[in-house]
This record gives sequence, structure tokens and C-alpha cells, in this order.
Amino acid sequence: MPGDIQIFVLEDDEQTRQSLVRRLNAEPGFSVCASAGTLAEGVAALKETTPDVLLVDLQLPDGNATHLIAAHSASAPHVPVLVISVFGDEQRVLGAIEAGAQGYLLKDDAGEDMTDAIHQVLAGEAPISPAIARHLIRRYQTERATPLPASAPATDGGDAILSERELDVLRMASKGLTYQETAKMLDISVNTVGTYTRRVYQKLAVTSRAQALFEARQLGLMSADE
Amino acid sequence: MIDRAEAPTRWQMTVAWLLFALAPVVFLAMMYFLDQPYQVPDEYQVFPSAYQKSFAHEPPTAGWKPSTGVWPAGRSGDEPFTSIWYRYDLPKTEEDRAFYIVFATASLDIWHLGERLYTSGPAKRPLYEDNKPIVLSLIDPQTGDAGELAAVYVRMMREYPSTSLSWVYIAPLQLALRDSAESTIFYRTLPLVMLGIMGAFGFLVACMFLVRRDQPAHGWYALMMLLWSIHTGHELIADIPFDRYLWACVSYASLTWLVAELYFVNRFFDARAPRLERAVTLISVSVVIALVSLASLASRDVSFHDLERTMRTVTNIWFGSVALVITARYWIALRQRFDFERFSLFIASGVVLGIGVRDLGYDSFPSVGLPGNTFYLQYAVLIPLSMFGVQLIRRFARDSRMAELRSSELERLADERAAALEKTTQRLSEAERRRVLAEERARLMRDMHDGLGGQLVQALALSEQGEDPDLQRSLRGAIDDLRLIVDSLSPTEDGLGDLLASYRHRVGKLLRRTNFNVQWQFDEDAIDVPLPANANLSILRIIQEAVTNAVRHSEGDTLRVHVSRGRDHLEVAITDNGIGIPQDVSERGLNNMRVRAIEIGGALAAKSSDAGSTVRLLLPIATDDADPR
Repeated sequence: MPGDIQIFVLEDDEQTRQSLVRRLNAEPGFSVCASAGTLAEGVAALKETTPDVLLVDLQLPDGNATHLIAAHSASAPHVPVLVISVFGDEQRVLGAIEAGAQGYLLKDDAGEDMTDAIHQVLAGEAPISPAIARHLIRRYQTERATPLPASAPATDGGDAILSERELDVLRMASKGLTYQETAKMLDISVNTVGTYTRRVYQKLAVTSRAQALFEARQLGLMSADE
Repeated sequence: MIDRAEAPTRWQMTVAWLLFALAPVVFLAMMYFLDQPYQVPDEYQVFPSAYQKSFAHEPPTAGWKPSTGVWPAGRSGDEPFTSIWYRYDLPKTEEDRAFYIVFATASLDIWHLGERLYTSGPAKRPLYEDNKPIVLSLIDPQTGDAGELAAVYVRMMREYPSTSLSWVYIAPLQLALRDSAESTIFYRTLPLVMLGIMGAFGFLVACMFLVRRDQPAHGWYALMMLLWSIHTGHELIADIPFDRYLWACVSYASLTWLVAELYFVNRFFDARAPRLERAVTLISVSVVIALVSLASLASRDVSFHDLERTMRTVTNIWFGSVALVITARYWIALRQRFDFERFSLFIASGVVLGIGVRDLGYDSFPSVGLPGNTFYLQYAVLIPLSMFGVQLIRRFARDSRMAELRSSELERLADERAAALEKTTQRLSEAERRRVLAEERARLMRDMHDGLGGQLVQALALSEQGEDPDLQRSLRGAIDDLRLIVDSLSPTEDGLGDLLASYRHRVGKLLRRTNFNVQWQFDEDAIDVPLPANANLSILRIIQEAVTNAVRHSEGDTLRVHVSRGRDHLEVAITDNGIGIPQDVSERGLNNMRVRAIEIGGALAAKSSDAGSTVRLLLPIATDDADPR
């Protein structure tokens, strides 16, 4: 339906993909504009369509989708990417977030959770799990241990150093608190919590932007002079 | 006792110099009383004391007359060279006389009544021992007359013109015997004792050198002792088993004991003076070679005699200078640090120097007329010797003690290292075990994630096509359980806190749809407690089971999950405000939980009433008190 949120689904398992597509289409205001089962198909389909959001499984028969995410987020940063995940793969999700993904979905998430996540990400927020939050904190602490020169300019959110507030949000998330609980604890709005999380993701992705640009050119998603 | 390691004060240096000068003076004064002139009156002396003279072509003194004739007839000896005879007429007396010589060098015979009484030099025959009187009967046993027989003849052998004779007495027998006994103690026994002590010191220090080769000072000291005792022995040993001339050469060469002392002193004080040492060695060896060569010439031709004596004086002065250099070294060492060791060695060096100057004057400059009848250094030797020796032994003892301390320290260090190594090994093997475990977990997780998990998700997707909510719920339950297992196995989720956070995050989402108000309370000190992975999983499963039961059966609306820490236990309490646990659930569910609790060494208690129920898990933990650190 026109006016609906156009969703692109990249998932290799036939059954899961179909289930996912069906469930998404069943949700009011959502429609799946394209779906693919392999990386090659996905790249091809992405050239044809202009989705509002991408749902991407990472492990595909012909390769890892991280490259695609990197290329996509470099060429179309306004279109968010959500990783489709099962469980126990926070490392992979984190890799995808570094590449530019804004969050993740669980394959068995109930429809409500799924639509919540998509709405969240479109509203400029980002879902987060305790495991991912812990990874981010650990990573941040490692970077803090080797600080940049004080004179290093902070560019368009490209500064990899997190603010105290962002770090607070991460700490809450790492303890399993929901956005609501975090918002209450920090006395900020729920939306702000999501925005902070999104910003953390962006900062993470920025650090690998140069690499992403290179990847984009490799995949043909960007011309060399772009 | 002065034993402080610091620079000397003016007062200390004054004392040092005073003792340095006084010690030899006191010693010389003592020797003056000990070294008495012979008790035999001078009138019995047939050759002057404290005076040596070569008398190859002229009579020794006025009392001796050349005897041109060959006497006793036909007794010119068996030597194939011409002899020169001197005759000394004894006073005509009926008393028995004793003839004795304190000192004589090579190449003379003494005859009486046609019998050879004494021979020295190459033709030496052991007829006479120095200092032992030869009894001369001055009465002709046949005529009872003392007339013509009361004469002593000395035969000089031309080949050895440097012959000298001194302290020759022909005295009444009783007088001579007494004098001889006393002088034997002082002039022979005492120096021999000194020699023995020197040898003992040298031997001891040589042994120390062999034990501790890293101390060259010990080696030099032993060499010094050897050379010095040879030099001293030269004056004492009468019956040498070889050539007297060779013996003299050895004596000259052994003067290099002073060179050995220079090396010793430098090593002892860790002073580096290789150029000085080389120069002193070179000059000393040259001087000794010159002296030995001249002595060799003089022994064959009397015209070299004076040259030899001059060279001997030069040699003595040279070695005196070396002694001066050594003394300067002691003085420098004392200036650097004033301690008992340096102080005593400086004074000892002063004794050697002072007595050495006296002996030089006595030996080389007889015209000065220094009192005394012998060299004094052989007596004085005991003072520096004992001081060197004592200091060396002190050092050796100190070094040994230090070495012992060091070795015990090393042992302690080695023990420490061994213990540390043991710990490291343990830690490494522990780390290796953990690494293997982590790898295994990762593999298991991959399998579950990619295989079982994917299939379950797939099955869930399939089931959603039909309308079987029970199947869907069952599959979701399976996925949840699998997720719990994977979480607990995940190598990156290492604490109960991490697992609880993940559980809270995931279950929270589900519970929000059930209108249950869940209060989570994880106390910081509780979730930090390190527990084995299986304990973590069991705790989670118990919580999961209790939460599920509460949600399904309690009919309440508030659920509280509290993880806290007691002094020696971990407590997990799940409380609801419902109607209590139904009987059938408590049978089945609680039993499961109990078994899990027991498996991890804990205990489970359930309390149920119509105002709600509580499931409480108590798990003992290692307390800080139990830890020895």
C-alpha cells in the first residue's frame, strides 16, 4: 500500500522469511517491498527499490551481510537497517552496528515487539540488549584508555567518545533495564533514551566509515567519484 | 678500636703518622737490648765483629800473618789449586779454647794441628756448624806443651776471592759455650720461628686463594710470603744442599717479594695501577738480573767484588723505594677511608720501611757504624705479617659470611621464583582449561544457534501458518530455554549479573504484555559473586520456573525477583501476591527446582499462603574470611 512503511527483507531461510513477510504485511502501516534470500539477490533488489527500512539476516549462503549493511549505510544513511538475529550472536550484531545497522530484531519476536522495533528505529531511536550494551561499554573503556589528543575536533557526531549521559543509558541497558525504566531512573523521556542509544550506534559506525566507503565502492553501490 | 668507615680527621692522621714513625723506633730500641754484643769479651775476638772483609791478598787483621810456606807440609789439601795460608798465633795457655765463627762466606778452610776444622764453600764438608764452638785443645798431648801448636791456620782458596770472615772468636771454652747457647736462641731459633710463622701464614692464605680464586689479593699475599721467607731463610739456613753461590742468587731474586707486595696492596684496595706495576716489575727484574750477573762475575774475579757490592746497595735502595711506593699506597688508602684495617696496615708498612732502612744502612754502609749484629727485618717481619694476615683472614671471613648471606638470599629468591612459577603454571593451565572450555562453549553455541535454534525458529514460523497456539507456545518455550542455555554458555557472559540482565531484558518484554508488575532487585554485591557456569544456569532456571509458575498460576499482579547476599550465602527470592502455589504445581515444579538447588549445593524453600507465595533459594558462597589473603 502506498504510504505504508516500505520494508526490505533479506533472510535466507525460506520459512522464516515467509513468516516474517507475512507477519509484517499483516501489521497495519507496514508493507514488504522486496525480499531476498542471498546476498547477490539482495544487492540486485536494493538497486531496484527504495525501502524505508531494511531487515537483514547476517549469515547468508553467499556471504556475510555486514558488507552490504556498510555499503548501504554509507550510500543511504537515512534508511535504517535492522539485523535479524536469533540469539547468542551479540558479537555479530555488534559487527553489523559498527557497519551502520541501527538495531536488531529477534526472529521469534512477537509481532508487537517487531513493529515496536521498526517504529523505534524509524523514530530515530535504537533497540539495545544488555549484552550489546556491555560490549559497547567495554569498547568505550578501551578507547578511553588510549585517549585522543584533546585538540582533536569533534565532527558531525563522528567523535567516538561517548558523553556521560550516553554512557549512563548504556549502563542501564547493560543491567537489563527497559527504556521506560531507564528514562525513569535518569529522569529523561523515553524517546531521549532511544535517541541516546541511536547516537551511540552512530558513533560506533563512524569509526569504521572509511572502511565502509571502501566496501561500498567494492559492491558497486557507490561510484568511485561519489 | 677505630673501625669507622670515613675520611680521617686531622687528629686521626696525626696519630697515624706518629705511630708510623714510632713503631719502628720502638722496635729498634727493643732490638738494641736484645741484640747484645757477645758476652765473650772483645779480647778473644780474632776477627772484628760487625765487619766483613775480603782478604784475598792481604791478611784479615793484624793478628793474622801470611804463611808463605806450605803448611802443614804435604797437607796442602786435595784441591788442584794453590792455596793462600794465614796463621793466627794463639796465646800460650793451658786452658782449653773454643773456636767459633758467627759468620763466614764461601771458600775457606780452617786448620789446626794438621786437621781441618772447618770448611765452607764448594769444598764444604760438614765438620762445623755455625755458632757451635769447636773445642781446640791447645796442649800438645805428647809434650804437654802449648808452644808451636797454639796456632790456627786459615786457608783461602784463590778461586773464591770474595771470601769473608767475621765474628771469629777463640775464647775460653766455658765462656764460648754459654755465649753460643744464648746467641743460638736469638740469632737462629727466633728467626726460624719467624720463618715458620711466615710459612704458616703463607700456607693459610694460599689455601684461602685456592678456595676463593676471585680474590687475587690472597694469591699475591701467598707469593709474597713465599719470596719473603726464601729471602729470610737465606740468612738462616747454613747447610744448604746446593751451591752457596746459587743460594745467594736465589736470595737476591727473592727480594722481589716487595713487587709481590705492591700487587697485593693494589688488589687488596682495589686500586688500578697497571702501568706502575709493569714499570716496577720490569725495573726490579732488571736490577736483580744485574746483581746476580755481577755476583757471578765477582765470584770468579775479585775485581768485580766492589761492583757487586755497589750493585747490591743499588738493589737495596731500589727495593727500599718500592717499599716507599707501597707505603704511599697504604697512606692513600688511609686518606680515602679511615678504618682499623687501613690504619693497622699503614703502621705495619711503617715498620717494614723503618727497619728496612736500618738493615740497608747496616748492610751497605758499615762506615756509619749502626749498632747490632744482624739484620732486623727478619724479626720485624712478624708485625706486618700478622697485620696483613689478620686483615686478610678478616676479609675472608667477612666475604664468606657475605657469600653465605647472599646464597641464603639466593635460595630464598629461588624458592620465591619457584613458587611464583608454580603459580604461573597453575594459572596458565587454568587459563588453558578455560580457553578450551570457552572454545567448546563457542562451538556448542554455534551449533545451537545455527542448527537447533534456526530449526526451532523455522518450526515456529511454520506453526504460525496453522492455528495451534499450544504448539506455538511450546516452541517459544523451547526457544526461550535454548536462549537461556546459550546465554549461560556464552564465553562473554561471565557473571550471574550479566545473565540476570539478559533474562530481565528478555522476560521483561514478555511480562509487560501480561499486566504483571515486576520488580527486579539485583543487589550489586550479590550479582558480582563468581559462580560456576552450571550454577548460574541453574539459578536462572529456578528463577524462570518460579516466574513462569507465578505468572501462570498465582493470579496475582505483582512479582518481585530479589537477588541478595548474606554473609556466607546468596539468596534468590521470587515473591508474588497471588493465591499461593497450587498443590499440583508445587509437587512438580518445586521438585524440579529443589533438585536443581541441591545439584549446585544449595537449598530451596517455598512458602505459600493465600496472600502470595515465596520461593527462596539459598546458595552457600566462599566468604572473604575463608580466603587466607
